[in-house]
Amino acid sequence: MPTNTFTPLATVTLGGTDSEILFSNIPNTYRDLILVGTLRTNYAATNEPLRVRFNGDSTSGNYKRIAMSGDGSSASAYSDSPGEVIVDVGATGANATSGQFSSFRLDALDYAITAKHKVGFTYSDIAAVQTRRQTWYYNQTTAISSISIVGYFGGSFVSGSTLSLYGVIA
Amino acid sequence: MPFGLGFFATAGAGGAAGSFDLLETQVLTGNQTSVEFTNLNTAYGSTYQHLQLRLVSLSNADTWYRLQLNGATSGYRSQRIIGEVSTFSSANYTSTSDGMQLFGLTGTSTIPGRAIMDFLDPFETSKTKVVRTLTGGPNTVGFISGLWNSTSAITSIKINQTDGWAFTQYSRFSLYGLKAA
Repeated sequence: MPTNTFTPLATVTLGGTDSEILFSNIPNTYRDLILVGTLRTNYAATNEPLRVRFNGDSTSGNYKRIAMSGDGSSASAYSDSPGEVIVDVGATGANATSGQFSSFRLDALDYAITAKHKVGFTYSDIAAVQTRRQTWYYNQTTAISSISIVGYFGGSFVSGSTLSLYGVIA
Repeated sequence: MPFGLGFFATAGAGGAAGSFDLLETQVLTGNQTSVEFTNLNTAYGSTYQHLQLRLVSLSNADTWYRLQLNGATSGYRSQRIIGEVSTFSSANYTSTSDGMQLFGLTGTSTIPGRAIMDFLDPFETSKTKVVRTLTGGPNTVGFISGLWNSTSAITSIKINQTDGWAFTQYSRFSLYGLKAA
């Protein structure tokens, strides 16, 4: 029997600037989480990477990312193990064309299954800069109950930035 | 600014079934060398336009699995781009006897493999079948486009490990249906 699957949990649409977007008290009753939206910060560049942290954890080495990207003239791959999921080209910056926001999505698969470490993907695209697909790994079995997103270089999200969190059952 | 979900708990809750539906889930309780979803066209062909397979897998090997449709042993073609640590590469593949080669990453015993696999128009008999996957593993991210050169409606989807390796306990494979507007 088909089951309604895709449930909106929360949506943030900024009417002003905010240094952090935080989703907290995420219920553990879904199988996957999907975070999707369009973002812009006031960092003085065409784009700014984002820091994504789970459960407030910023321990270096607890996360790993493997990314591939293309910028119209070359393609590349990158991997590191920082203290968060770093999402390059996660947001447009103050020097981007007015009205331009990034395309951003984060999938967290089996986010509440305590028998497994956590994994997922990020999709970040700014047409004038780069397209990027990334897989991430978080080496904790604790259910993800909060997701924090901030600008990597300290930029604040500007009015119009939007993120929606969905729960997907399985 | 924090947005505690307690405030939004009632937003969007309940209501009628939507256009993205969970159809079946398999969670392994032991080792299996393959996972299969069957009887798909009969069960879902009249209701859903597309299918999506979301999986998180553990394995006794860090390797790639194969995708087999309708048990077919030929007619496959795939193109992939992958990032491995700091190396970017691309390749194309033809058939193997058990499906499209190198279509997703298995993970290890502790670091799950993961994939989101889209089957577009799987039940249309006027079109050959296309599928794409975004997959990740301990040291690799990949995006793969696949073709099965058959207009037959998809009746089964099988994920095959090879060379004696297996998916292990807690591996999860969930099939979703997407309706047309």
